[in-house]
Amino acid sequence: MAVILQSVVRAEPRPAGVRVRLRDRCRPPVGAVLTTAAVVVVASRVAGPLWFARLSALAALAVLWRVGSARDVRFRSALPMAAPLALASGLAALHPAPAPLAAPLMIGAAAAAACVAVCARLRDAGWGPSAASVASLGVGVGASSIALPAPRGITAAIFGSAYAQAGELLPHMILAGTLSASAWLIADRFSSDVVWRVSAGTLALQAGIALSAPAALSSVAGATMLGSAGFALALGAAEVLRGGQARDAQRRSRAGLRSYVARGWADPAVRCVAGLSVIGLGLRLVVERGLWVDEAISVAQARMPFGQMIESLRATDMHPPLWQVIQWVTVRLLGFSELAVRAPAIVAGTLLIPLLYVAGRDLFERRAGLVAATLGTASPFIVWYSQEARMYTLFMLLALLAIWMQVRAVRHGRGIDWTIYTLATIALLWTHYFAVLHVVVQQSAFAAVLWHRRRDPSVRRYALAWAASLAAILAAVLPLFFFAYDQRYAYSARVLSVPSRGGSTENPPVGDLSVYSVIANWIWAMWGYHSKGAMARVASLWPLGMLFVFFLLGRGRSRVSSLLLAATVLPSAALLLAGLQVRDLFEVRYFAGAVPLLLLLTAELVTHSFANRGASMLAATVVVASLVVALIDQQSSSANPRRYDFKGAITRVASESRPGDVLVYEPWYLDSVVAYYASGVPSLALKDATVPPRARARRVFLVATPTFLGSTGRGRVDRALLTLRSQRRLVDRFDRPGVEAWVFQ
Amino acid sequence: MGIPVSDPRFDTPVWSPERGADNKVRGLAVLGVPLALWYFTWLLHPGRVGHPVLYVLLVTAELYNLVQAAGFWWTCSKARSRAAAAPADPSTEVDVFIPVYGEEADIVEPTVAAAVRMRGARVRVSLLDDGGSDEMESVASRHGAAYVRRRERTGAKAGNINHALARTSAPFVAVFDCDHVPNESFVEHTLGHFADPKIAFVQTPQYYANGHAGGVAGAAWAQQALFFGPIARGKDGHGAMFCCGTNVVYRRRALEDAGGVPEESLTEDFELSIRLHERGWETAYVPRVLASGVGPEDMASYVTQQFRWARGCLSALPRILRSSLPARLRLHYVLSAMFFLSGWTLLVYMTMPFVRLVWGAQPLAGTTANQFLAHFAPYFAVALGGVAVAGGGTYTFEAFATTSSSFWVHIRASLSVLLRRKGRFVVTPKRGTARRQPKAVAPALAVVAVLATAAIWRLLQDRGPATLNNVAFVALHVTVLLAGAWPALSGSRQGAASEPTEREPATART
Repeated sequence: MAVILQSVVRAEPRPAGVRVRLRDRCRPPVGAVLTTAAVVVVASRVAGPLWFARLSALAALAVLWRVGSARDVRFRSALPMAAPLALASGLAALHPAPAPLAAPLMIGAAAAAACVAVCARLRDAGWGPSAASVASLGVGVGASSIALPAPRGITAAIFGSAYAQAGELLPHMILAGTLSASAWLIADRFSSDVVWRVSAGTLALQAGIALSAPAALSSVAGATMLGSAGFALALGAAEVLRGGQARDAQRRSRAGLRSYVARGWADPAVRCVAGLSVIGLGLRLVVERGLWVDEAISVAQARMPFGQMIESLRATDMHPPLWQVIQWVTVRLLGFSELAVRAPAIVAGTLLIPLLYVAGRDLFERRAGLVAATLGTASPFIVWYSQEARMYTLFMLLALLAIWMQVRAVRHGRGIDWTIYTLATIALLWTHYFAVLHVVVQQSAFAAVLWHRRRDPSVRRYALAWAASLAAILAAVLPLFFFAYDQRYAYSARVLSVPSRGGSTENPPVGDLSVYSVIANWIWAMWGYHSKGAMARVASLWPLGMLFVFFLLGRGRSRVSSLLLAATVLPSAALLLAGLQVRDLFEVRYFAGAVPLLLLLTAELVTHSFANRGASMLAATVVVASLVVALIDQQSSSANPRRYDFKGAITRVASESRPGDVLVYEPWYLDSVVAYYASGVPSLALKDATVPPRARARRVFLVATPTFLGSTGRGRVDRALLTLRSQRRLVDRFDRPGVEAWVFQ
Repeated sequence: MGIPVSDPRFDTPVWSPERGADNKVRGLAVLGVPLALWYFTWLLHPGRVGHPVLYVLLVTAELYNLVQAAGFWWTCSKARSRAAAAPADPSTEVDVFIPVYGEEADIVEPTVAAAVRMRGARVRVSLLDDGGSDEMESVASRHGAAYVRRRERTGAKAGNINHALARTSAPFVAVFDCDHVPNESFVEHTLGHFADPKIAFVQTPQYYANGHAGGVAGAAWAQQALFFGPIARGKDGHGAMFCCGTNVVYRRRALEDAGGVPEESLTEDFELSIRLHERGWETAYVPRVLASGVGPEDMASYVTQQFRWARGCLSALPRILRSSLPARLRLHYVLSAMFFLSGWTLLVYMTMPFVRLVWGAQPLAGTTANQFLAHFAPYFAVALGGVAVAGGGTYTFEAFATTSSSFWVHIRASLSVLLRRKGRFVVTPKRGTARRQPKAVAPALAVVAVLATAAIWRLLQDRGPATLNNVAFVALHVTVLLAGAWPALSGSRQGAASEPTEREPATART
């Protein structure tokens, strides 16, 4: 990238109104290239990989800054050299790598060059830069992403054991080519201030990540990959949004945008949704409970350097990395407070409200959108997970966005809709593995539409757009296979595992998988989490479900509502089947993406099922009221089995502890919670040690969470209590929801 | 007299009998068989017997519904859509009969006017007036139709038709109720099917043009749509379509072979179909809306119509069982007639939570709600899904609720048949009333009151899950009954009112 910089800094401003085509050849700055390559080689040898990485990141930032400010298409002159330069850069970093490594690297570089050439041809052929963007993204990010998380065994098998880490360098090299293609797109296509600001901001983020990265080159490559991916995606989206308009047209569109916003604000519905969003944000900010185990683990992972975090996710987690990357950035911007670590979830959970409105308005009509937004505001399930530093609200947000964009893409066939759908789906898959169930439904719907339109003259265009979207999704998701493979391998290798969230098996009447467990999960999805008694009573009202089914007779179903219904029901049905093998898999949060769709369907049902508008309003009011009541109960009831007051118990221990005291906990995976709330207190897990003798601890605090204790854990706690009682005096005992604590002197 | 501009019978029909998804229905039928077995093998296990009487009642009701569901699946699995027949010779003569009895002229005149315009044959329209109305005579003369007035009005509609048969000679006879306006192409679409010499009659759908306005007419139409959609097409596939009394073309020779339209029967169309099938004649159904009529617009009219149909069909059961029909046809007739016993099953279902709330007895024992749901829910879903899919979405909750709230009609009709009471028949009014008609739904309201009282009384003592479960069942029944009764309670029918007209026994279904 530093080499590319050399070519760019020589660029001159583009004359106004002159559009230079790619075919207007310019002489590549060979001298600058060779000089820079030499500098990079020396720098990498002298400064080591870390500094090499940092320099590269800074160079990338400078390149984009220069491109953005110069707005000069002469930058494209660097293009034909991009791939060889990338190769040189990679070889420099590899040095003194033996010769056999050069061949595959050369192939990668050639691929990048081919990508660039194809982009250029497509651009000149009038296919539009979006195709180039997609191709650039697909080949560059996809290939590099494959290399990054590829199991080292595969790399070693290809390159030999001595070069097992070679894959870590590949993305860095290919991304150089990707960036140059993207930069060319900027220079040739965009002159908008907005676009280059976005680009520069994205690259600044990338550079920030890279500069914070540890010494491991893989981390730098990973950061580069993520930053570049975001950058390229922003380019593609911006290009589509801009639609090739001239700059004066852009100015008009800006004025139009302001007018559009003003008109929008004049709409009472928009103001209503804004108000709902404010209320929703307030509801999500009013959070009493402390961090729960999974959240604390997320925070602990976010404390790690980026590369170590990715490795930790690969080795100890079972989720894709996107959420954790967001968390990682967030804590560096906002800190580690409870609110800070939950901020992304709160934001996503709040964004669901306006998104429900616009999606409902677009898919059905305005009243349905308003009702959906109201339901989203008060939805206990959404509020609950907005207050949890985990990925579930993002899962919901992206699932809704993806399916909305899918419908728009099918209806209108516009590039912007296809692009956003593709990006949302990629992000969805990088957020939660079970999102693949939603994607299967979506892709099946695409196939059904293709079949339906098979004799339509526009089917070719539709098929091409779908194929491009699917290819981009597959390319971007391919690395997840390797990542997931590693996680699965590591998981099966672990002797001990953290069980699923305890509450899922504690809410009555769920035990073994049963019809009642299905009912309970849907009650949770709609009305949130409640005490055992409340759940038993609500579940006993299942005959009203029969009434609901009767009520649906003849209500009609549009293709949109059929799609939403399928995307709501089929993922949960698939997990139900999976749950027959592994009980914990059938759990509402694993099909959380269905919840906003359920709310949309509910809104559609209550607004369109009654000929009388008053009856419709009454039905909507009843449903919203039921959600409000459920929300109050969920948030306030201490009997809510999903509520674990680790914060209350452990902060009390922390406040009462004195030097020489020891905190002992069971099960062992409370370590993250303990570290978060009582980092200054010496602590140990019962699994790893016996109860400390009097000589080694003044007082012993024993904290256990009964929900998670299997027979082994319970036995450990009982034995520890026996030992402590025999050696010490019980001076205090207190319970918090889901947590028990003993204090021995 | 002019034709009302707002008359819905002149609107283009917005329904097609072929809108149901036949393959989906077949798929659901295939799925339904093992699910039914799954449920009933569980239900009939001796260990499930709770209170013996309640258990027997429940099992009987469930078996009845299973027979109906299986019959529905079987019927729909052979749904047939006849290809258009080659046009008949335009010189073919067709007599068109429009029997009337006291209906208003503005209802009848559009029918006469449309009938004389029918193409594809030499049509001769006869207005068969049993009401002796001079106004009808002028209607007939205005449109060039023959006017036939009987001196001795025996045999109701059947007698009226037989009287006209004796005075006409065309080889084919079309019959329309006076409110069913035929399409100009009616004869063109039906007459060609008589190229098969075994065909005795060609039936077409009885379309309610006012069904889309909702209310009682909408509910009645939803039920009709289910019958004239997948069921009628299925019956045609089995060669078992029966005559429905209107929008039908007969072969005169077949009518003569059957001895004319049976006058002694309560359901002359049903009885005529049995006779024709016994004599080896075949029947045809053309799934195409070729005439538009009006359905009952208020609850009293609906109840009147349903009672007549229920009584007529139930009284035909012994005749069916004694008939010399092939087993397949006999089964079809039995299934059709037995439908009018479904009110009894609803009574049984409503009794269960009531007994549980008041006395604590329940039909099932040694099981849990979870087990019950695991076995019942899939069967229930597929059975209901079959109805929804087969009807192509035309069968509505309102139709279900209206049927449910008139459950007592089936009970009254079956008791009436059992006790061999001679009924008084009332022609379905062609226009409803805007007044409230609580009497038409009084039995349903009484059941609502009883169930609600039992639920409240029990809730005051206990609010545990078991009680709540039964209260939820009560809420289910109460909601359905009230939804069905609502049109009668709100009196929301639009248009002019007319009172039901008393008529002598043995009229046809209209």
